[in-house]
Amino acid sequence: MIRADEFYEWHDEPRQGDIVLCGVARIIAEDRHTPVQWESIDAHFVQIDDGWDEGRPLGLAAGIALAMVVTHDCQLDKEWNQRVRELQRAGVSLEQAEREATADTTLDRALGVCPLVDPDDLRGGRGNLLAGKVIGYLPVPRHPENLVDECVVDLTYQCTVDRRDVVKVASISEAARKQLRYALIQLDALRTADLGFEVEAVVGRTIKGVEVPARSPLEVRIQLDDGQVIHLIEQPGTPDDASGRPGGFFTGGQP
Amino acid sequence: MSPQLRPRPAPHCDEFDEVGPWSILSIASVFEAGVSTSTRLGMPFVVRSLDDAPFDTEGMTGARASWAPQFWKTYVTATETGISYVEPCRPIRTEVQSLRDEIARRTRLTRQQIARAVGVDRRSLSAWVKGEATPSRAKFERLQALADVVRDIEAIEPGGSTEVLLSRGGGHDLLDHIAAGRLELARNWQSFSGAMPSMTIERRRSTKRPLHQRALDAYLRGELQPLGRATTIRPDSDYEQYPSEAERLMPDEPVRRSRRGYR
Repeated sequence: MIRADEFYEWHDEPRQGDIVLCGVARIIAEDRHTPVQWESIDAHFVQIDDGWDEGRPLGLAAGIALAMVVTHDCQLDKEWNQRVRELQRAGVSLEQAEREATADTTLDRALGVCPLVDPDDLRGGRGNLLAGKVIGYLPVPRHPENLVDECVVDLTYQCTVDRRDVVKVASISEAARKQLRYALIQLDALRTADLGFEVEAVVGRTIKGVEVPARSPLEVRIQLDDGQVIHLIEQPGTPDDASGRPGGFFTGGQP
Repeated sequence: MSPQLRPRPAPHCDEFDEVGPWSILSIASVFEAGVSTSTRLGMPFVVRSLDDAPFDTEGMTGARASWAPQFWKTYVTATETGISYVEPCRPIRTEVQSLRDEIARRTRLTRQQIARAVGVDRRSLSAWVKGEATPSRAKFERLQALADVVRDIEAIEPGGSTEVLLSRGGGHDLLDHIAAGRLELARNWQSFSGAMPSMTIERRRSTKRPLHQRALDAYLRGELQPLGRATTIRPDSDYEQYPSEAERLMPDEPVRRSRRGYR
């Protein structure tokens, strides 16, 4: 786990990885089962008697929790950017467009969060969880001002909340955000999402962009945050027996 | 009493023998003969429709009127004076058509939905209007109840009757309840759960100190602020995606026979 002084880093603007105080909720079945790790979050059970129609109730468990913003930075001001561009296309100056878009409180209201939970309530072992070895959980060190205990972000509990009902508690460093993204990718998208991170680890920089030139499809240009560009040249391969195609970028080099 | 309340004799009614203790025809005859109705307070009399009912007449001052619809008659009683108002029955098909058209006019219900409230299909309702069939008393009462509920809703929530009638509670809307003969429930439409789904909230006590307690305390002390908005101008490309790229960029997941190594 990253040390607290490397994990926490205050930023005024809303960012992916922010630790916030907000309400969270999830739909529950009629037996109101609550996993142990969410018992302290499920402070209220709400039952809407005819939520399903046909007499079947709809239930949800809700409560206040510390949670981590998992929505990507770009998504946090996506509608704002769209509005600015619309206004600019309509002939409004950039400054005025930004002002008008900022004044529109309906934009970018929703964001995704995952609650923080006590690792002692989880299977997998506190040590493994806090070491970040368990997929679905991101370790969080104790906050310097004790606003957050040592815990883990439960990425398996994802909840959409309204940004106007969210209180910012802390924000985290770029290194911690990188861990969050990796954990999110591993849980929800790719169990083997390590190539990009390995490249970053090797070169010691953050990859800002990847480009495959249209005129040179065998080349991959990796743009680093310091302005350097790495050129990866794929060697023309032998056509695969089954498909007749050479191996792809990710499979290149494999037998 | 207003001159418009001058009653007419009751038309022929197949079920006239069920009228009971009131001598409607004879009273009606009295009125037909031009006797002043103001002298008839305390006596049963006949008017054409409920609109003519003497609720507002001077002679009714102090009386508490109530009315109730029945299959073959509609009567109004004034409890303090003992006045009984009895509407003569009209042919059933005329009454069905009148009710059906009134419901359709006041709501956006289709004839199919009106028929559903009565517990029949649209063809049966049409057959009643054409005189090809006669509704049972129970079914006619449902049609009357639907009309009553519609009038009541429209009086309180003009234009809102369709939504109220079709709102569901416990899997049923008011039309279902009327069709099932639960007329009182339908008449109490304001307390019908379908108009506003009932909800229960139960607080659960956790024995553990919640993780958020310190942060919540800090927020309540005013030390934490809402998530603000500090925006960044981003290029369009940040918001564009090309799903066709997926195959090129995503490696195929290897087929694994066990989950060994996962936690």
